[in-house]
Amino acid sequence: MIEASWCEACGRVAVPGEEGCLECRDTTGTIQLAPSGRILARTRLRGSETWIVLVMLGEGARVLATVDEKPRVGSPCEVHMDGEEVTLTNVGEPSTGPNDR
Amino acid sequence: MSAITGAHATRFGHHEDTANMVQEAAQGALNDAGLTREDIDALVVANAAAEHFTPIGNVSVWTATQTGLTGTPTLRIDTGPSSGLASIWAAHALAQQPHIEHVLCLGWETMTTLPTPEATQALARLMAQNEQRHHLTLPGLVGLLASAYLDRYAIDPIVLDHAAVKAHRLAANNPIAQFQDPITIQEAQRSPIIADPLRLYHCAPLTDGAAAITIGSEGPVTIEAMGQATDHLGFTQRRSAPESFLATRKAARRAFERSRHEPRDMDVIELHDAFTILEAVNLEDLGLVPEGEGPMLIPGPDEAPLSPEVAVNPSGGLKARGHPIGATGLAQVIEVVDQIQGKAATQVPQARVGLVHNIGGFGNNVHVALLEASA
Repeated sequence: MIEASWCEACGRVAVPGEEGCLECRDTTGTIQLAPSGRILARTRLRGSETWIVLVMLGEGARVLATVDEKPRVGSPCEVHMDGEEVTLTNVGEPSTGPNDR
Repeated sequence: MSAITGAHATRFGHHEDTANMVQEAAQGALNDAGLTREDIDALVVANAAAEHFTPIGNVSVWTATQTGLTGTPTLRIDTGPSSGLASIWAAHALAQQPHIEHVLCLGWETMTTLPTPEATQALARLMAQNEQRHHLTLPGLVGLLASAYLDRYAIDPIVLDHAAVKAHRLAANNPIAQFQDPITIQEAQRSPIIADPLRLYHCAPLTDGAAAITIGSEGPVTIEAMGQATDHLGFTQRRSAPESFLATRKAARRAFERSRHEPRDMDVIELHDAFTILEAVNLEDLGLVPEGEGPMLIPGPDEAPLSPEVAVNPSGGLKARGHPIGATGLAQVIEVVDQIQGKAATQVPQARVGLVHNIGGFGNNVHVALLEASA
């Protein structure tokens, strides 16, 4: 289930059902439903247990999210949004090496 | 175009007294140019973070006062860590005015006043607020970029260690560098993780330092062309490839479009390697190598530290010379000026043309300058 979407006016993430874009309040009908999510990058900060991931929604907008296990770069995922809170599910098998290719 | 008539940088590292540090840089540049304070028509101060690290405010007037330039018109340039090279851009514009003959650019930063966690938080203000809310830091953003880059081109992360070893080897020969000792590849690999895959030795340090340059109409080194570009503040707002900086590509393209030179003409390059992964990324974004081939120009620990194809960061770079953010761009220019004049600590034979690349934040507010020996 993909619930995220993005605004073509400002490139920021919006949520279906909202009146226009959360960020720029564009209401010209440019809110696009994101068909899928894909992990573009990951990092884990010193002392942290969780991984911060950069996720691309569809072909454009990007969001940050946090996951517990080291995800594979390039892995598809499902993106759930509640306001600015982003949750990922079905991230796939954890990564086991420095690179995933 | 304008010429560089004098230059001086302090030792980078820790300075007890910011005023003394700034005075040394200014006087050194004036001496090098054979000028006095009375000759200076304008003072351009490059400083990005005095309010975060020191009690100093009204930075341009404070700097003018400390350097004996009270009464001289002054302004401050703050484009984040690219403030130094941006100050050269501003000075060049000022020098086109008929009543301005000599401009002094003075970049400085005092950063060792704060413990690393507080300093990291201060520097995180360069980022978009929505990304700060995820507890990301600048190293965290570069960690994301590094993971995307290494995965995109299937690069062995050992290249991050090679770049660190190379930077320290060169800095050990640079009398102003913060790090004066080489490191081993094992030390790089065993250093603590800062933002996976980046380790401590993959990151530039916090640094105090000052650098100054005088700009005039005639001098031994000419600023042949410059290019600038910005990008969205936030990483999540960008649509370009996450393993690359679009602003660097635009700034470099603009600089070369205004130049007689091509990327392959460069004898020496000082690029913005605040994190070792950026050496590879920047080489590609500057047009020096095809995408994914940046690591091929980073020598291993058993190879000569400077590639015979193009000498990259002979100073030790931001990574090992140090990175006092307001002064960095000017220190980069000074290294290329020294190279062109044949007086660098690690001299590139017959260097005549060089490139300086300075980034102001995470892939933002990028400045590129092309310098050449004056005719």
